Amino acid sequence: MADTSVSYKCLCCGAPLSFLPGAEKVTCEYCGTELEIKTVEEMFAKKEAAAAQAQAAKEAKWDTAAAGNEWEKEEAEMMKAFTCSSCGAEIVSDGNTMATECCYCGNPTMLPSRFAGMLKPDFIIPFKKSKEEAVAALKKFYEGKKLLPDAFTANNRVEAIQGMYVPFWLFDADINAQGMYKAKRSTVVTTEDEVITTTDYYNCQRAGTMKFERIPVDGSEKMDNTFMESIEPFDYSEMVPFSSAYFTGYLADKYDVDAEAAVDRADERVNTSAKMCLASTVEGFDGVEPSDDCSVVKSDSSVHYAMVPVWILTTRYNNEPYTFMMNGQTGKVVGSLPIDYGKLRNYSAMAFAICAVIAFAILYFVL
Amino acid sequence: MKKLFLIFTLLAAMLLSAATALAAVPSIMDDAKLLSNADRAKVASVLQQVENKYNVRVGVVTVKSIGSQKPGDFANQLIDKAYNNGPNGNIVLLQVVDQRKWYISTDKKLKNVVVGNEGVEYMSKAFVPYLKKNDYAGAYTIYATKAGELLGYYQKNGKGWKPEKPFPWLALVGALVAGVAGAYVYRGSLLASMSNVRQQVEANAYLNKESFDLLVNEDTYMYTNVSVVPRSKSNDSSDDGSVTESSSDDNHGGGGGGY
Repeated sequence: MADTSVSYKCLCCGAPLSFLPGAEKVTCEYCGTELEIKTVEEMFAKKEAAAAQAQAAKEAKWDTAAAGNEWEKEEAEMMKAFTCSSCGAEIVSDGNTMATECCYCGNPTMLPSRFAGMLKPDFIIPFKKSKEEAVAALKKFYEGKKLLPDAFTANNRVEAIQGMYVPFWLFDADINAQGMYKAKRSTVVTTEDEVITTTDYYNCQRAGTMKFERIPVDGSEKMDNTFMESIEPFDYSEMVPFSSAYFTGYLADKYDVDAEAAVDRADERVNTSAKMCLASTVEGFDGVEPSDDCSVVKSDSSVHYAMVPVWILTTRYNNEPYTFMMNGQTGKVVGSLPIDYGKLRNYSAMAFAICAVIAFAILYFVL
Repeated sequence: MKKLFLIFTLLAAMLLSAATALAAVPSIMDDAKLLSNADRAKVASVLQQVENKYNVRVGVVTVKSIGSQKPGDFANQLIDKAYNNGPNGNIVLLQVVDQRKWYISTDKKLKNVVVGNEGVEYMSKAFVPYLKKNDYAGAYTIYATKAGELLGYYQKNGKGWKPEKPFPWLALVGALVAGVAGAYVYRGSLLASMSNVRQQVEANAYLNKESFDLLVNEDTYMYTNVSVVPRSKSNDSSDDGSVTESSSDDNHGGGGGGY
């Protein structure tokens, strides 16, 4: 049976290849052989094509059989089987997986058939942070958190850790914005008998152009959008043209939220920033009222498809899973920690007592 | 200055001609001629009763003017040079007519009897209303009475009178409110520290700052609003018997104000 997946194996020793964070080449961890990314791509291009063809053939056959099987068609679409080219085991993945590893032999595996019919990413930000750095960063994230349950830190073990390339849409836009603001300037004159406040009101008109570059919007349905926005920003100076060679050793999903569906989120953020930018030019007044009469128009826009690196760390406390994510490039960790409500009560009571005693001491002498 | 010299000459002459210690300087020296003879006698009688009861000197001195000298300094000199022979202490009330000011000075011993501004105001709040009504005899009589009360309190309790402070309910309520507010803010900051998962509301990080070009920048005047708020007149407490000035030092106590 033809292989339906492709393993990136070292040409020298046959061991699995992995792209090491921060490296410029694909390196064999076993014999140390370094291969240029371009070389790896060329070598495996044919293999990938053959694997894709084999998978297509297998799917066609499988689809026919599925008509009378117990799986619903939608379920079958979501769960697809591939053959590991290293050990021959069947790998099951969801419909968006582009790269994974064999759960039996651990071999990094590409699923080239998933590359078909989709946009090829324009860019990729390679992983810079390793698995060990992710675990260390998570431990540091716990530090100084007063409400963290003692049992959580004492028994905490990272249950699962996965490096994953997440699809993102990067929006570029030239913006024309205009707005009206109501501003006021006051002068106060105090006489012996009265306080006279003179307030002049102005209508401030502002219009300008500005350019937003590469606003990221999550292109993966299963990745929480809030998490993905929390790990921003990315350093785009380290972004490189896409190569599937960077996928080796990591999971990767293709997008399932298309660029059109992601536009609204980009627009929301652009509009807010454009309004803030214009409002910041209304200067020299004592007060500026925000205006509803503000329009933001895109004069030119473009979208790029990029893969960004994310470490996903999962831990468990009181039978509840806690997921943390780390920006695989900058090392920024985000997540929500469990809360010890007993500690919260004690700290609140302590704050109440301290504030009340200090306030009483001050007020006793002042009043 | 000439007048001042005359006053001290007078006081010195009285001191030199004194036959007995307590009678050396009269308890009331009405140089400003504010009292009739009858009233002066009545006031002198009340003052002497207190003096005899507590073995102190309790004086009243009125003057038309003391020039540029401070009432407190002048009253302290009266204590040092005229009313200085009370076995248990000396106290004097000075009234300066042209400045419409009063001052009570005590020697070191009676600093423990007339304690701080509260002790002085215990007397002044009672007699200053009479000064304002030009009822000088009434004012001096009340001064003497109140001085007697303070001396009696000291004799009975072994310490000077101090007003009892009411329980500071307002401070307590304020402290509770501050405590709740402080705890609420701290609680919020603790909870916020447990999660850094937040949706981004803007895209400022992706704005090319150099690309911003302000094309229209027009401020058009629309209208003016004028609001006039009358100033609240602060209550002038300087003439209600409150102590507004003090020349007390290691050897003198007391304080004074206007009327």
